[in-house]
Amino acid sequence: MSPNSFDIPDSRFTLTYPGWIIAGAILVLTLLGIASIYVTDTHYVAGHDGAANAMKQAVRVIVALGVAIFVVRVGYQQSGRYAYLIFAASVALLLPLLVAKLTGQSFGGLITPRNGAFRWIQLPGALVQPSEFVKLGLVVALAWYLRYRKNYRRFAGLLLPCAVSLVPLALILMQPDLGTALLLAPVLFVMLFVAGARVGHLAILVIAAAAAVPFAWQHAPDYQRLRVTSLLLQSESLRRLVIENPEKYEGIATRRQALEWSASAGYQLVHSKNAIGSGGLWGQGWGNGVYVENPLLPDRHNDFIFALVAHQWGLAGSALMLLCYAVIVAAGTRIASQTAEPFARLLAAGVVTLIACQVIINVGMAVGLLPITGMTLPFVSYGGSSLLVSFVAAALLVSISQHRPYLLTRDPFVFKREHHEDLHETRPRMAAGVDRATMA
Amino acid sequence: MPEKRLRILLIVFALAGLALAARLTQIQIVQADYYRAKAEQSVILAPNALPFVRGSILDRFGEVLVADRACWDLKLDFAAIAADLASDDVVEQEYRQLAANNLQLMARRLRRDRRYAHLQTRELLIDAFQADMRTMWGDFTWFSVIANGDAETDHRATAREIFERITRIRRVVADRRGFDAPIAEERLAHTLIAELNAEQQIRAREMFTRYPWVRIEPSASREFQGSNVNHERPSGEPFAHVIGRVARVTAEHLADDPERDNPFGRYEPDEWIGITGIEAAAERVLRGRRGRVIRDRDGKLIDEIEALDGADVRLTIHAELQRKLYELLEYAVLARPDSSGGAIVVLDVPTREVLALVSYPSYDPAEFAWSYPELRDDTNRLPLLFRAVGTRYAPGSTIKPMTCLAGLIHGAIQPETKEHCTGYLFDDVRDGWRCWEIHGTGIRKAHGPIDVIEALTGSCNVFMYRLSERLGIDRLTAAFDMAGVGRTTGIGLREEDVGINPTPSWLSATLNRTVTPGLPRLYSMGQGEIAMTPLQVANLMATYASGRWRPVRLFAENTPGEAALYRAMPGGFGTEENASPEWRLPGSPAAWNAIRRGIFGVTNDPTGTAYKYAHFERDGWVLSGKTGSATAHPWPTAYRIAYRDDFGQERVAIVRAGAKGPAIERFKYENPGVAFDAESVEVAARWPKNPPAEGANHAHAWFGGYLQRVQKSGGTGSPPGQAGFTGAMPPAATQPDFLREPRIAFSVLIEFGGSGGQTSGPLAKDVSSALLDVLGPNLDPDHREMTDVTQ
Repeated sequence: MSPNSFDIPDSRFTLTYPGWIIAGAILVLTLLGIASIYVTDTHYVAGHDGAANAMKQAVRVIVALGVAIFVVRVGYQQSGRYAYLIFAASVALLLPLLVAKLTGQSFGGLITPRNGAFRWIQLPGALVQPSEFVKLGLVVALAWYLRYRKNYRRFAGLLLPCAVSLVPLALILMQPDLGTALLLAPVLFVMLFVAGARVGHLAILVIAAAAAVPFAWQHAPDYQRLRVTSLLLQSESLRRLVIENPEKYEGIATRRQALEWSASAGYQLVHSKNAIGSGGLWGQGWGNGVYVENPLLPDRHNDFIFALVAHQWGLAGSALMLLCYAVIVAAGTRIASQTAEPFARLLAAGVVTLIACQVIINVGMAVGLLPITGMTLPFVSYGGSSLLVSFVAAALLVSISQHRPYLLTRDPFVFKREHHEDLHETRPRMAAGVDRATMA
Repeated sequence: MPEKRLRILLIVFALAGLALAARLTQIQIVQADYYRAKAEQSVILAPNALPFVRGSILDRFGEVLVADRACWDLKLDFAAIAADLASDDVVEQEYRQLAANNLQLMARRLRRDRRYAHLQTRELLIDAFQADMRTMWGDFTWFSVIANGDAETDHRATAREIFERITRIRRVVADRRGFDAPIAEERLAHTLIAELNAEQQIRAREMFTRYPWVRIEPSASREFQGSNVNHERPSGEPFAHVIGRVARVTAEHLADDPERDNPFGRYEPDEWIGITGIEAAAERVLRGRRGRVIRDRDGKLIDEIEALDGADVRLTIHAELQRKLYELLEYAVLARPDSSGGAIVVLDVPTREVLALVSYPSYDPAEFAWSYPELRDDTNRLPLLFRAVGTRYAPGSTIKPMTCLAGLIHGAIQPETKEHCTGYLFDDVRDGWRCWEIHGTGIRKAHGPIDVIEALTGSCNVFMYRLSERLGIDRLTAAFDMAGVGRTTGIGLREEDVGINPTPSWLSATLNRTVTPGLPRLYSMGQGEIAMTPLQVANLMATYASGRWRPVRLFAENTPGEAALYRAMPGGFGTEENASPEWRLPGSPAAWNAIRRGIFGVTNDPTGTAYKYAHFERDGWVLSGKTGSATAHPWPTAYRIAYRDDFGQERVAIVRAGAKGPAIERFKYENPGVAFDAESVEVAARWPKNPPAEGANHAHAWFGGYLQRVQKSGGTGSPPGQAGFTGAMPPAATQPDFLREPRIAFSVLIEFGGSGGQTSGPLAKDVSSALLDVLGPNLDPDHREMTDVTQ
């Protein structure tokens, strides 16, 4: 299918086919989320019971839907015009958190650490998590920058987006929030890949990142390393081996860590897997089951809500959920492939990657395939910032699917070596030479 | 190509999705029954914690100084404590609802208890509960009388304190979480009477088992041990300061606990934590990790995680020596009616292991809980002060050898240079800058023309004044810095005071003062702002003796396991960031020879300031040392702060603190938000309360020294290469062997003891004698006399 085919009509003010199926999938996901939040009493305190939380979440869905409709009406092109501004503003939101952490200033009670992390800003009426907005800000800025060939075909052009992405990554890492920080890396890589960066250049980046891993491992705090080794320690036989020959398995965990694992470092994983596994094929039913009735699984209404859904509706529910995400990702990829405009295509690919990576990481950690990090499940988890960002991201996809420019040029991103040589490589080089001459 | 890349992306996501789906199938279909059983288990089975034993603290030979002793605690369920306060209007408004809720909870619990099963309605249950609580408080008083002969303790007030402590923790937790919610402490039982012995716990069981909310649980308490055969005094007294104390954890400890999410490592309310001394410094090593056991309803073992007992900490302290020196110090201090206390520190020179760390007055740690108010209010003796490590004093003349060494290093003087001392620095100004006074005579000492050795031997002030003028303050304080003044000794105790090295930058930053010509003169003889602890002075003596500065060591590190253990201690000894480097001080052999001969002369030359009092020679060892009389002023111990209370009434608070700043800080901490006049803050009490009478010598008496081998061959006494140099050597046949490094260095301090030579000199002689008695004729730190015949 060529991007220049005219098989889909441009319907600017009606929701197109991909728009409808994305909206349908989101509806199913938000309903599953609200239904699960409704039956989970989180803190046994007035104002924090399940019904109140579900009500709050429903209001947030309505607000987020309003914002999403607004975004569709305005059109994704506007996000391109203000791309760098959006990115700068979202990064600027992270700065007060860093200042609060370094100076201990709370900005009049706006920023207080929770469980040792400076991750949230308490605005009147809403708790805002700025790192959620940075994800989308980065996607928009990268799409706007990478739409030019000279930026993505040359290694020097790739260094700027990498360097710029490192700023929010470092800021989020300092909060500390390893999960969100590491989410930015695949988003960056996929956008460079989709834009058409040379395979050799991408390989250099991958090798550089891989070379940094041992260093990061050495300098990571113990609890973070234990999260990774927890994946191995899931195995009861390995734990027994470590307990019996602690010297031999020193690299994995100490004897005491293995001994205590199931009730300390592995506590959340053990209970998450218990909740998912005990759901079986059809689940315990809505509002039923051990893990709904007892607060055994921490964060079961936000980061571990997948376990709760799988517990109540079994494999049927968890498969339905994965299917909904698959629909969104497939529709998003189709939208990306059908649009001819470079910015739109990159934006769609970035949004799809953002959603897909979050789902893979969140579900992966719940089932014990990936290390546990603080990562929300888009459209489902309890929390305003995540919900708003997910809805805006989906709205951008829908908007792209509706604005399809007719192009009478060569296909974007498709070029041969000779185009590359004569059109883009020579001119900037000459310009640079002139600059140097006049300066001298 | 981009089409292709999008397709690759889609395939990658699809593969990831497939992996997730496969894993879900495995968990939810294949292993569903296993997980279903585990999920059911996790609700039904309540884990029980297994207690751990806190590590012991040992002396260098492994003798136990303090260890955990098994005992029992009498505890009350929090629900009962709170429910009892439901009808009490003293409870804060904020938590009155909490008390009322707990009363309802108690009623629900009692309904299931067969002893209360006959009561049908909730009102009847509440009435029965309240009536039983009243009889229980009566039983408590009765129990105290028969168990301890104590009718004073108000157990109900203790219960109210527990309630207030828990609500305080709840507030801290709520601030951290961002919302107010029940905390784990509300589900636990809390200690009302601690440390019951076997007999008391049986009696308590007889009296209290009828109340379902009372629990008697095994626990442990710290007990000072040690061979106490020949000692009538409590065995813990000589060690009380260095070992320190444990206390119940506070809300702040719980909030700052790095392991608060780990059920095995975290502190639970009512648990012990080291707050001073070794108990605090080695907390991470001494503390163990609790275990956990899960049994099903038939008592079958499902899962067990054993508890990990805390590791023992072995010190370099020589217990026998410590006991002996404590006694000597006590006699010396009690013999001086003006003196308020003192300290003795003994170091092994080559390794700088601390062999004794004695501080007097001390207290009996076994009685601490009862005697604390008395100890705290004893402003005359300040028994809670850890003088050996935590209190700084002007070092007096003990610093003079360093002044001379600086002069010799920088060429300001030569070993032969002579200065003329007339008793006064300026002949026309006789009320200032004088040499010292011969005791009680009012006669100023005039040394006449003297060289550096004679200046040290006779402790001439005028020589130091002239020398410091040539050196200047920068070179002088740089030399002090090399000798460890104002530096941590690396002992790793939280109480450590690093003293003050008054560099020009310190003066301007801290006191906002500029350097005047008088300051280096003062500092050259160890007066003025310069301040050191007895531990630092002992290390200074070891530095004179060896020519090297080294950090001291309090923790024995004989096995690699022990070394790893101490490296793991945060901020403790031997950690990378805390390990002080070791260095050799500059100075030619001639310079060092002059210094050491001067120090030798103090106790061995008839003109020496301590020859009369501290000349000591025995078993082939001879004592060299330097006296010091540090002019002292009584210290403020409490401040008076005038403030207005909530009703606008003027009030006065007495705040205990050593300086104005900390007093204000403490007042603000204890009375948040109360307005007071910072200008009006004034000293309310001084220490000691009865300073020495006017006209008497207001001085702390120092003696710092080391024991040197006597030279066996009766040669000239000059080391090779220094043969041409002749100092003021005594005519006596005794010649120290300057080539062999002295083995033991020590410092002695008697507060308000007057002249260093006269007061601390005899004690130094006794200390030397005791060292030879205990460590044997080779002064080997690993040697001990077997005093206990039963061993």
